[in-house]
Amino acid sequence: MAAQPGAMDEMTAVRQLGERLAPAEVSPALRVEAAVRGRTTGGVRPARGPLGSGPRWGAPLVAAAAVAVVVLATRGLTPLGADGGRPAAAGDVPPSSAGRQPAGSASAKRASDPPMAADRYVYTRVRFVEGVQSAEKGFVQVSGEDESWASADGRGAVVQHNGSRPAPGEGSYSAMREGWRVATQLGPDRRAGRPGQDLRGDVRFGWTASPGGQVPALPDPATTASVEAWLVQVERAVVGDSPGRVAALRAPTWAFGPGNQPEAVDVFALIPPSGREAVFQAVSRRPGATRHTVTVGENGTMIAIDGGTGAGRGDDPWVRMLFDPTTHAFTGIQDVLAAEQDGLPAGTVVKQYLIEQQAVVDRPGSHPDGTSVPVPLTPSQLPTGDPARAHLAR
Amino acid sequence: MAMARWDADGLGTDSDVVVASLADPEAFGELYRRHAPAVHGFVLRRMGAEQADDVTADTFVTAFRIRDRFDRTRDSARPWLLGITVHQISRRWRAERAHLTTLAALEAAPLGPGRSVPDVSEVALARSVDARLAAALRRLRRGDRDVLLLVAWAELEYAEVAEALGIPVGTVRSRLHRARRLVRAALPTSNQED
Repeated sequence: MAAQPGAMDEMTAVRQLGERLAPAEVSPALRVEAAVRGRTTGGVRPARGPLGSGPRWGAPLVAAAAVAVVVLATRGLTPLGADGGRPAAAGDVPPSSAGRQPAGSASAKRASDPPMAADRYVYTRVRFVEGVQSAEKGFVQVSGEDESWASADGRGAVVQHNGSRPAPGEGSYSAMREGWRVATQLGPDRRAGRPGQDLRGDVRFGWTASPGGQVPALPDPATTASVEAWLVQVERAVVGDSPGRVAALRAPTWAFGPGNQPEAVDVFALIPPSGREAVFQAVSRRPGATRHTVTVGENGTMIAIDGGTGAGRGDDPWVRMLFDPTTHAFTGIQDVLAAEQDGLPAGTVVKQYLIEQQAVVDRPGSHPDGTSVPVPLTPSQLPTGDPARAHLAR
Repeated sequence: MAMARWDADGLGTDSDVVVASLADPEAFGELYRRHAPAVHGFVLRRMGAEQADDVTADTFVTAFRIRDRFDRTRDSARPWLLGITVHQISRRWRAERAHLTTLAALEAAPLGPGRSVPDVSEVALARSVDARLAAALRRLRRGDRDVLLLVAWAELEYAEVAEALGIPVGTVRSRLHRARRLVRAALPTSNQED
């Protein structure tokens, strides 16, 4: 019996809440078992009647086996501070000199951060390709854009995404605000709250990644050592206080998990020029990390730093962080299969998030080319339960 | 290679089933039959219906792939499976957070057209205590919430929670104590009892 003697009212209340949410045991729909059977591979199946309907355990479904390797179709990458071959639009962030050092340099030379007014916003456009597992359809590959605007004032910021995909893990938000979702809240600047501070020069990641945990601010100055410590803090904030999980981490972006990569992109995309080299070096030095070069579609060669995962509770894909070979600016994330899975060979890129463009704009919704889309700006425009309201109301 | 065909009628312990599935993957279907309802119910409570199918499927796909790591001295595979489930949930923490946020907001903003929460009763959830509890659960540390809900919703023993999460029993106790204290403080009838 789980309940201990003297069980408290709160335990009863929690149990009753659970009972109102769903029965303790609910048989999944047959499609769930079919999906599981379809995704398990290996071994020769005996030709006797299976338990239930659908394909046999260990026999891959045609649909699963036919998952297409992600096509790395991206365009016009313009990472922060690099022209990337794309014409610089008005307001594009100027290049940094931080990345001129050799890749192996352990000491990070700090670049200066151009000033930016507090009432302006960093616009980021990410091109993503995802393979989404659907119990009904098997793997479905989707691609699209994800735009965000991070405010630059010292009171904190809300990153608002304008995504078009059926976002895994965003169901409730999608239901609350169709077409819009707030994926990340950048918390208030607890240390200063200085109006007019430079977001890129003093980014506060007071972002509540998990209840009870805060992703801390990027250290200032951002040195390799201080960023290494910061990465650990990020992981602990996101993963929680499970020592086993933290110890098993090999890539800082792992902690964000499937469907949460946009947050990882948010965090690392807003690294200011002065912190790029330190972040690059710190990520490179992670235990177990490997560094090599990859060709990413039309975007050319990038530096890839792979980190294993495998917290012992799953067989997660490897996470690859991509960096500009010249500036060492963070350019995106790939999820790479560490082993054959669902009929796909090891090494297959199954998800990809590439930063296509970053620029400074006047307000959320504005694009560098002068066009705009409506973005809720005030607390009253957000649903009552949206945690972003509290941040905006400060 | 000669292999024993799995006989669904020859029921054994979960350990027997897992061992059998190493030679005959079809045997794993028996483990699914035994525990999928509990896993699915747990996920439904924690994440809502939108995520439940995927998380349940991912749990068993993962379990199948790492079944050779199952501790065969354990008779029941449920703690092991729920540990994998918690891992899958933790990798979708944003969805869980959104689910709890939605529940916590129901008191102030009752459901209506265009706003839906799958598989929950609007009447039952539009209650102050549930909203407060959901808000409190949302504020808990993830590890504390995992322990609390494995005990309260999955009905695991402390030792089973420890097995599921790979932590000492003492840590289970301390996390549960902390979680209960915080949840108790959120209840309208909270008292100082410990």
